[in-house]
Amino acid sequence: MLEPALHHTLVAPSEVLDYEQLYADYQTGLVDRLRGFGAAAECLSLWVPDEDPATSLRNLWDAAAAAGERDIAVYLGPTTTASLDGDEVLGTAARFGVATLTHGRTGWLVEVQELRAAAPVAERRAVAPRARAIVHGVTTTPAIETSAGAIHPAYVDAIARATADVQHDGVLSADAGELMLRVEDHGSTLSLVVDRETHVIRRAAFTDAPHEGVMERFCALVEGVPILDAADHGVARLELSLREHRAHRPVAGIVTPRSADPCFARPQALIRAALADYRAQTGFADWISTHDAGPAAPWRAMSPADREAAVRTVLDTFVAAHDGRPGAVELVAVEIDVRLVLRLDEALLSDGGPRLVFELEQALRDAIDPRLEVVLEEIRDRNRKRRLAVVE
Amino acid sequence: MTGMTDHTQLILDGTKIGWHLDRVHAWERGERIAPITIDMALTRACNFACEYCYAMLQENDRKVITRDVIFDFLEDCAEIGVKGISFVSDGESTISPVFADAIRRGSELGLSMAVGTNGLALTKMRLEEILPHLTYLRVNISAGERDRYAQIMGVKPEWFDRVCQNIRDMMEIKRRDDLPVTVGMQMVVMPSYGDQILPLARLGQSLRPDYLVLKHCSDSEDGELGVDYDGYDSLYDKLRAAEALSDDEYKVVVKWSKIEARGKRSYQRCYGAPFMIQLSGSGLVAPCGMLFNERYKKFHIGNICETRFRDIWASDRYWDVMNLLASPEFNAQKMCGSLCLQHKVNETLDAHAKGLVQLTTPRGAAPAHIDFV
Repeated sequence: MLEPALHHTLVAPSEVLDYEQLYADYQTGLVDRLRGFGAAAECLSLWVPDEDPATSLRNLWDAAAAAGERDIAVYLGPTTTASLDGDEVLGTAARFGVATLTHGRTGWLVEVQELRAAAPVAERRAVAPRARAIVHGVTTTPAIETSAGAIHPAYVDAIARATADVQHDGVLSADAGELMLRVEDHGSTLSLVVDRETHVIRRAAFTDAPHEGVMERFCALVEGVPILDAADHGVARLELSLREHRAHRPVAGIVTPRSADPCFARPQALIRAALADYRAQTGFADWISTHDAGPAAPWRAMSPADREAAVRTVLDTFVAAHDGRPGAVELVAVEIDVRLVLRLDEALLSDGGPRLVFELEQALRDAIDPRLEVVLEEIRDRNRKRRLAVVE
Repeated sequence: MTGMTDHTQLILDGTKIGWHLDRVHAWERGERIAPITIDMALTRACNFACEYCYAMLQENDRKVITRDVIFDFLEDCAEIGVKGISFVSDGESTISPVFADAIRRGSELGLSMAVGTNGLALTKMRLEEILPHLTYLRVNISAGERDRYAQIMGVKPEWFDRVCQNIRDMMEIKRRDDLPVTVGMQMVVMPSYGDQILPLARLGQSLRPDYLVLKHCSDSEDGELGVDYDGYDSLYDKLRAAEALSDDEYKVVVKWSKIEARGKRSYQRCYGAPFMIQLSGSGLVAPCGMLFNERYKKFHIGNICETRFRDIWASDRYWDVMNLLASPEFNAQKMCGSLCLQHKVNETLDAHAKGLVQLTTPRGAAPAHIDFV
């Protein structure tokens, strides 16, 4: 609010801009508005304030001049003037036109007439010095080492279980309409029977694998999968399926079959060789796999009510385990058959954060179907005027 | 085959990941790598209201990036090995009170700094402050005529004149001081904006920026912006005619690879995020702008307004999310919007991981803007 003493100096007091109000409105708008944002005063559409009031005022006069304004009057309240030097303010203002500064009881009135763009000056406004020295460099965390030749502990148990129940060793034979592939790498073989029409692997078998459990699980995983997808993604699925706990990663960074353990090199080489052989024998020329197995039969067979009940059971168990109130997680919708749109109680969400949603998705996948996805209700700026603000 | 776009001085339709093989190799070994490039905003607010604005779909809890927050962030980036930071997406960073200081501070720390902007608030005085510290400055201008500009970008018609003048000023300062900054213009082409392609290309001939890039419009996984990717077919002649307006100092470049992709992806894994992440103007750290909305909270990693970036980057949470995107449990063909920022890096790394291409350091001199992959 402009103080009364300064009103007397002005021809049109209503045209005096209250700097502190403008600054406060601007800061609020940065958070409250989404589009069509701007300073409250029409003549300041180019203005960008600054935490430093001297710079902020300089920007204000510059913006007004650039917008074609002829005169501008700004009232600076006591909070602002406390950190400013009047002579410096006047000096800066004078760069933009004919400037006057009037002292009131608590604030200043700065008027600039005949506004013009300021001539460029070599300004080196100091960026606040920082105490901490910066040590430049690429920071990486080395991969976890295991002893030479040993399988990483993350996979040992699962490989042992698969080794104890080998069902895919040996050789295969093809029926009519099927193509038999047999490839070798370092003495190990992979045999595939592939449907020529669908390019889907019907049966898979191996011989002489250095880690039988690895090849056993791999053969089981690629049966029923298009050969292109098996070559592109089969070994990554193998790695995940053999990892004892999803969160117990074998490396600190990104897990790929290559970074995870050398035991995945053999199935990778064999399946790529098999695809190359398949291309050579059939002329198969697709390069992009869009295969998505989708949800399993039990989920597909469920009615909407059954699906909701199944999800509800998992949600209730999850909420109880996290000390949430009953109904703290609601199923809002099921999109594209597998995407569960959930609404989470604020208290539960603020306690658990994004990780909670992550864990909830895993719980639903583990209990119902691995293809399920979880998203939350979308947040939009609910004020249509703000969302679609168009400057008039 | 290297998987790389052939070397040109300015790569606008490709990826420069091949010039960062040290980091690719560290990634392959399973090491924790710092991003090469971070694409971010200093605010979610914007003084424009463009029809095609993807950021409208990215709403999340707002927090304010203060000077201390951004300075801490920049210092952390320099320390862990980030190379380039672009204030590009999600909001109009030039209207943030910390914008100019952030540019200068980042530059002083040895980071390559870049800006994508509507250009309105960049008066000559502010340009004098920031241009010496920038690798590139790109002005989003999606029409070449005043009234259509106002309609498409949701602003007053006279703002078109202001932005044009600001572009002239940018080029005047660049030439006067022989600055290495690249000044560009960018049109987000929607199929319905075909009438503006040639007027804008001709406007560029007059304003003389270094380039004009014509790009597709991204859309959400549910197609909420209604981008008709088949509709681009009818624009091909105009796009080619615009390219023909290039001369020795002004290049008109069409992002053909993304337009011709029709919003489709050749890959299912997102390997690119650890190499280039995005931050919302709210301070939210997420792998990708398409995942900023609260809907995708499971992918949200942290917020630089609350936690130092170096700690966010070193956290298990960061690597949990990055690993999910790279795992068989994630399918970018099914779970993402179209043609994201990481698309070209994803394409290249996916082909490399599948053994389809062998990444090698490209021949010839490094291209411009190498820190922006």
